[in-house]
Amino acid sequence: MTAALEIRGITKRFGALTAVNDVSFGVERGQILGFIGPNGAGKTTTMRICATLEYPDHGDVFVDGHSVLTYPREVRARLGFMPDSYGAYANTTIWEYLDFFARAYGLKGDARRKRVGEVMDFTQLGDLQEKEIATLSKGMKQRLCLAKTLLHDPSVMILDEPAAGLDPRARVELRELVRALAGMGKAILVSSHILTELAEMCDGVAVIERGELKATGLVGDITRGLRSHAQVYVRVLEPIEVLERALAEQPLVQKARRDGAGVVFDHAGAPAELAKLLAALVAQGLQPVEFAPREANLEEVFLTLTEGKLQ
Amino acid sequence: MTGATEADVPASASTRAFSDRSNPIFVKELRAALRGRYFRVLFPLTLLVATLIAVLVLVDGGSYGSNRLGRDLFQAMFGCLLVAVTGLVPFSAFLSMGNEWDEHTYDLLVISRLRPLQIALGKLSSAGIEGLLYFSAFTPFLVFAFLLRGIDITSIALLLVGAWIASASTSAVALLLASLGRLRLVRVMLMALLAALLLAANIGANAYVDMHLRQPPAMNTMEEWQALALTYFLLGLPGLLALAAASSGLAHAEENASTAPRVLVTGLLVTLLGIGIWSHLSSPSRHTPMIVGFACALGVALCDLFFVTEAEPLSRRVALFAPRGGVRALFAAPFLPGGGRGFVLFLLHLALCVGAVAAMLAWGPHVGPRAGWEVEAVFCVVVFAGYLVVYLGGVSLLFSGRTRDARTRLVARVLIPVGALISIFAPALLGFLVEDRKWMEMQHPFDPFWVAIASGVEGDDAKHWAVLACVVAVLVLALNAPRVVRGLAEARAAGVERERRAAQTARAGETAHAA
Repeated sequence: MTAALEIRGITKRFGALTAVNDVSFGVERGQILGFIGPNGAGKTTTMRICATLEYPDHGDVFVDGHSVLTYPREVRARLGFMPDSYGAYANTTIWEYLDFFARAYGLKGDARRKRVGEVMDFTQLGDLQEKEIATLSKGMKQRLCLAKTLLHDPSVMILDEPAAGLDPRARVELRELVRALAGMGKAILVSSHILTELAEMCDGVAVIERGELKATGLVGDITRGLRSHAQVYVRVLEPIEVLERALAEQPLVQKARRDGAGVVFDHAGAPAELAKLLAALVAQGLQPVEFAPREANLEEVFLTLTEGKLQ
Repeated sequence: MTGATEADVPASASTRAFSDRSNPIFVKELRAALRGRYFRVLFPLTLLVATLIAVLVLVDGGSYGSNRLGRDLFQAMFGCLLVAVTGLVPFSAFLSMGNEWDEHTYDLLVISRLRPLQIALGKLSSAGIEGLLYFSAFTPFLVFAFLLRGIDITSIALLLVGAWIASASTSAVALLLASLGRLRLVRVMLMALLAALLLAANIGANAYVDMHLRQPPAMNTMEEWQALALTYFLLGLPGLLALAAASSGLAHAEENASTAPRVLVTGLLVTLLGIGIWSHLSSPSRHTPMIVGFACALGVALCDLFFVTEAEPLSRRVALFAPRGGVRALFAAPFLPGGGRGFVLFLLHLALCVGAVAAMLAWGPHVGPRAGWEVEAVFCVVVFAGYLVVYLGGVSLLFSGRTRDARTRLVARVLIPVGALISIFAPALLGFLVEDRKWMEMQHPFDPFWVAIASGVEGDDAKHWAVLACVVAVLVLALNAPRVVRGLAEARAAGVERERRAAQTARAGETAHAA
C-alpha cells in the first residue's frame, strides 16, 4: 500500500549544520506514527519540510502522491500541520478564528459555516465560540489549534508536540481526539517528549537523533531488533536474596537486578528453557507469585537507540 | 451541530456574497482592528484633538476676513487628517504585520491557500478602510471649512485624493518595513525608521498643502492635469514598489519571489521613460532628457540593488520551473532570481535609460546651446550610469559568495546606498579640513552628479574624471563577468533540464498509452 505521507531521503542543511540527513519513512492511512528524538534531533525540521514550510536540499516528501517540492499548494490542501508554537490573534473569538482560517483554505458560504460548526463540535468548542482566544486555557487553545488544522479535512496530519504543557485530563482528551481522527482514515505523524503518551496513542514510532533516523516501525518490532535476550520479571514469597542466589546458579540467566520486590533478568534461551527455569526455581522450594516476560517500553527503546547528544 | 453565529449571517445575499469574495486577511484584520485598543483609543482622541484645534482656529480667526478663516480651518483640519491617515493608519498596518511574527501565526498563513501578495493586500485594504473611517469622520470639519469660503471644491477633492494615495503608499511602506523585522529588536529599529519617514512625509505633505492653498491651480490647462497626474503617480510609486517588495519578502526563501518585482520595475521604468519621451517631444526642453535620464537611472538603481544582492544559485524549486529550453531560459535569465542575473537586469535597465535619452535628443528638436550638445548630454548620462555600475557592481561582487545568508544580504543592501553617500559627502568634509574650495563645494571626482553634469561643459577637468569613472566601471563589469556568466549558464542548464524532463514525461505517457 502507498503511504499517505512518504518521506524519501530528505536532507536539510542550515549552513554547516546538517539538521536532517537522508531520512526516509512513511505513514499509512489510519496509522498514528510517533516521531521521537532528543531536543535538536531534527524532528521539527522534518515536520516543517513535510508541511512545505522548509524545502529539502535533497530528497522529497510526498503527500497523497504530491511532491512538496513540485506541488506545494496541492500538498497544503491535503495536509494539516499543527506547529509546536501555534499562533492566536488578539481581539478574535474562537468562531472568528476558525472562520478566518476556513476562508484562508478557500471554503465559501454555507459550506464554510457548516465546516466550522463541524470542527467545533468535534473538538467540543461549540459552547465557547464567542469566547476570545486570549482568555482560553492551554488545553482549549490546543483544541482550537487542532480544530483549525481540521478545517480543510486533510488526509495527512502532522502534530508537533501537541501534548506539551497540557494537564492530565487535557492529555487524555487530546489522545482520544487523535485516535478518533486515525479512525477516520487520516495518516497522523505526531511528535512528543511524553513517551508514555505516545506509547498509548501510536501504532508505530520513528526515532531520530542528530538528523539521522535510528529506527522506524512498530515498538515491538524495534524492541525485538534491539534485544538479543528476553527480559523476565520474577517475584517470590521468600526473601529476595534467596531468589537472587537461585538465579545466579542458572546458566542462561544474565544481568539479574532488583526491581521493586522482585528481580528482573535477561534470559538468553528459548521459551522452553524459560519454562525449565521456572520449574527449577519451584524445585528449589521457591514460591513464585509473578513470573512474566517484560515487554520493552518506548522509553527503553528511546534510551537504547539514542545517546542524548545534541547537534 | 454548532451553527454559525449571528455575526456571520449578513442580512442580504449580496452582502454575504461580498463577504465570501473578500480577501480573508482583510475580513480578519478589519474585525480585529476595529475592536482593538489602538483604534478604539486613537480614533476618538484624534477627533477630540481636531475639534479643539478647530475651536482654536475659529476663535483666533474672528479678527480677519472669512475667506482666510475657511482656508485656515481647512488647512488645520487637513493637517489633522494627514496625521491620522499617513501616521496612525500606517502604524496600525505595521503593528498588524509585526503581530504575525510575534504570535507565530505567519506559518499558519503560509500553509493555507493564501499567497504572500494576498496577505499584503489584505492588510493594506484593511488599512485603507481604517483610513476611510478617518476621512468620513473629518468630512464635517472639511465641509464646514468649505462653507466658511476661502477654498474651492476642486482643491478639496484633489487634496483628498492625494491624501488617500499618500495613506495607501505610506501603509504599504509600513508593511514592507514590518515584513523585514521578524525579530523584535530589528522591528523596534524599523519602527523608529518608519516614524522618521512618516514625520518627513507629514512635513512634506503639509508644505505641499500650504503651497496648494496659497496658489490653487486653476486646472484648466493640459499641463496642470499632467502635473497632477505625475504628482499622484510619484506619490503612489513608493507604495506600489513597497507592496511588491513586501509580498516578495513574505514569500518562502525557496520560492521565486524575484521575477514579479523585476517585471514590475522594468514595466514602471519603461512607462516613466515613455512619459519622459512624450513630454520632451510635446514641449521640448534641454533639461528634460537629463532629468529623465538621471532620475530614472537613480530610481532603477535603488530598486535593482535588491536584485544584484540576491543569493546566486537558483533554488531547487525555482530551477524546476525555469522556462523550458536553453534559449528561452537564457533570454528569461535577467528576470530569474540571483545576484548575477540581477546585475544583467540592472545593465539592461541602464541601457534603457541611456537609450531613452538618446531617443529624446535624436527625435526631438535641437535644444542645446551648441552643435553636438546632444552627444555630450548622452555622455553625461552614461557617466552617471557608470558610477551606478561601480556602486552596485562593486559592493554586490564583494558579498556575492555569502548572499545565501539573509544578514549578509541586508548588510550589502545597506552598504550600497550608505557607501555611495559617504563617498559623495566625505570628500566635501575633507575639503573643509584641507581647505580645498572645489571639494568643499562638492566638485570632486567622487560626486557623480558633478562629474556627470560638468563633463558636458567644455574645458572642465570633470571630463578627465568622467573618462576615468567609465574606465573603472568597465573594470567592475569585467570583474562581474564570471558571476554573470555563471548565472546565465545556470539558468540555461535549468531550462535544458526542464525540457529533458518534459520529453521524458511525454515519452512515458506515450509508452503507457501504447501499452
